[in-house]
Amino acid sequence: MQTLVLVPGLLCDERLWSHQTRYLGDVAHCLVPDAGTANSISGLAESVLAQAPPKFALAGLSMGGIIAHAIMALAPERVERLALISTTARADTAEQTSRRQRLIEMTEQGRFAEVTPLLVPALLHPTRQDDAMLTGQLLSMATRIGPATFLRHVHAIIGRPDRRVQLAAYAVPTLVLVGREDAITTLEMHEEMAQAIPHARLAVIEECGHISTLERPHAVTALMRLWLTG
Amino acid sequence: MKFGIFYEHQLPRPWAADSEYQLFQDSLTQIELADRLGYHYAWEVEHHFLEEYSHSPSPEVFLGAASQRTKNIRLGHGIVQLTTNHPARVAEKIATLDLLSNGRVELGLGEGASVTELHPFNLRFRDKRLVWEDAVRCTLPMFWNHGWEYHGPFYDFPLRAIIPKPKQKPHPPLWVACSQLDTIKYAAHRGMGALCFKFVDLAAARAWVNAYYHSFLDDQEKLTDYATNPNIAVVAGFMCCETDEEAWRKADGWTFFQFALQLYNKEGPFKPGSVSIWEKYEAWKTTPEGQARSGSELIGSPATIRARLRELAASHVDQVILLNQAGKNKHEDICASLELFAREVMPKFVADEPAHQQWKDAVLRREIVLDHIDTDPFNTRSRLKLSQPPSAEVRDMIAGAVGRPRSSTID
Repeated sequence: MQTLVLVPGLLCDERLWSHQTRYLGDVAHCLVPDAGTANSISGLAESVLAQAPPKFALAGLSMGGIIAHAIMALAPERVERLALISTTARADTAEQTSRRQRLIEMTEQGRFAEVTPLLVPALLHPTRQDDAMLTGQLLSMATRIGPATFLRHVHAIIGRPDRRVQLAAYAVPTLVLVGREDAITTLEMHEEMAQAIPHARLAVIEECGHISTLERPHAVTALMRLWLTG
Repeated sequence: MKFGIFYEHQLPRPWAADSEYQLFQDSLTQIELADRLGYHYAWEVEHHFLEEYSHSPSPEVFLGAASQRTKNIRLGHGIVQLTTNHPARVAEKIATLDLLSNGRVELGLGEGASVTELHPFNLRFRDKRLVWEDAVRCTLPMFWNHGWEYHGPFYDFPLRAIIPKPKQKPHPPLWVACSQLDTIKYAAHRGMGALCFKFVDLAAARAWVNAYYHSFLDDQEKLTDYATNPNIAVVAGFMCCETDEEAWRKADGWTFFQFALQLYNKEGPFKPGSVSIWEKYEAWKTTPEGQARSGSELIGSPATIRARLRELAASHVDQVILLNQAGKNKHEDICASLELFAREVMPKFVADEPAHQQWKDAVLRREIVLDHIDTDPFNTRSRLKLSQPPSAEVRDMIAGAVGRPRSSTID
């Protein structure tokens, strides 16, 4: 059976993929790698590669997608399928970097606990921002990741290169998946990837923000099932 | 705490020529009054063919009328039968009512109560939970996907544009009908609100609330990507008067609700018009079981009702649904009771609502961990004694209607 490597996003752990690991077990062996301790995207990619089997299907959400792009640069021959979820191929803009710098400063001032509540309005669809159980899950994952790992990951994200030049070389079945109301990585960024990647299929989930695997788990799992078995 | 009122459209015999007309008109007047007085929810059931017990097969029509006579009160389907309505028709009707009411719909989802109402729709009683679950998967995505198709074990629906869309996004809040108490855990398992139509003893309320949240947090498995609705509403017999004696006199027939449903479940179907449910109820009421009071009824003076509500509030029940239109309760008494309760009892409990919401958010974020309390001692199933099993004649009547061998066992 194929192995599906599921790479979480910033401040997330394996719970980000809980629906997928629970319901895709009949078509793939699911593996959620450790976040890793590197402070560069290529370092994080190498950490994922070290935990993965020789060949695998690869899915990444947000920072996980950014790591997936790095894996496609480092070891494309090991990736049999690719799912890019709520992510981008672009580098940070100056404005994005400056927003991240503010989060870094807060964390260095000992205010890490305030980071996730600050991010929630951008992470979730407006109709889910009052869902205390869902926001509780985000808080709980962030607490487990902790400030030290968070800082390394944010530095890695800030320093990432623009990957758009390499998209045309992706030669595997690729799912590009986005929530219609994703406020962080927009539909436009996903259209751009889907147009540039030769075997890409773009899927848009309605009434969904950035954290699609938790916000619309059934839809994401169904689309990933088609991608894994198609 | 929030307060709802509940409409079964009970109509015990004997009937006059305009009884049904008067019942519906009075109910609308009562809901209009409740809206002005600040009650939060009006719940309307859906039942078919259950004469005397419930003359309410078309709740969306009734609530549509109520939507035009009220401003703020939430209009609750308590419930829509997903088993006897086509999924697309449910999505269309609910969205229409939500638009007409400016987004005031609460969507309770039920399975249908008995063979009396299920068999005419070619449904077996034993399949109703599976059909319900398939209907949830088929119906709910119609609220947020413009085009939708579904291929499941019971429903096969080709790609169509589902219009209109509800005003509330992604859909009205979802509830599950709990006619047995253990369904409370099932509602939580599915991430939906629990509408408890079986009376909850005050002593048991905390156990059920805790069980609900444990299931909601640790055993939640949604059927598709709908929005969760952590909420527990419990129905209680209701009549608020100046004295306890007056209240009990005026709510004399309130237990007809529970009695009639159990009778239909256990002895129905009846040949149309062959049984006076009310007469059977009056006979049952002379028995010790019929005389019993649980002590959980909200029937009495404002002081009596306040004391009982304090216990329910301490258990963190979200909503109490006041069973005001019950048995032969009179329209004038119902209106006076609603007014007295709104004046003397409701404000204090409504004022505590923000604190309750804070408690609930803390539970859902796992900042407060609730005790595990065994619910088994409180899981009392109905104990109504059967007078006799359905006759062979009645069984044949039903078996013929659903195309089964005559006189076979009906589940």
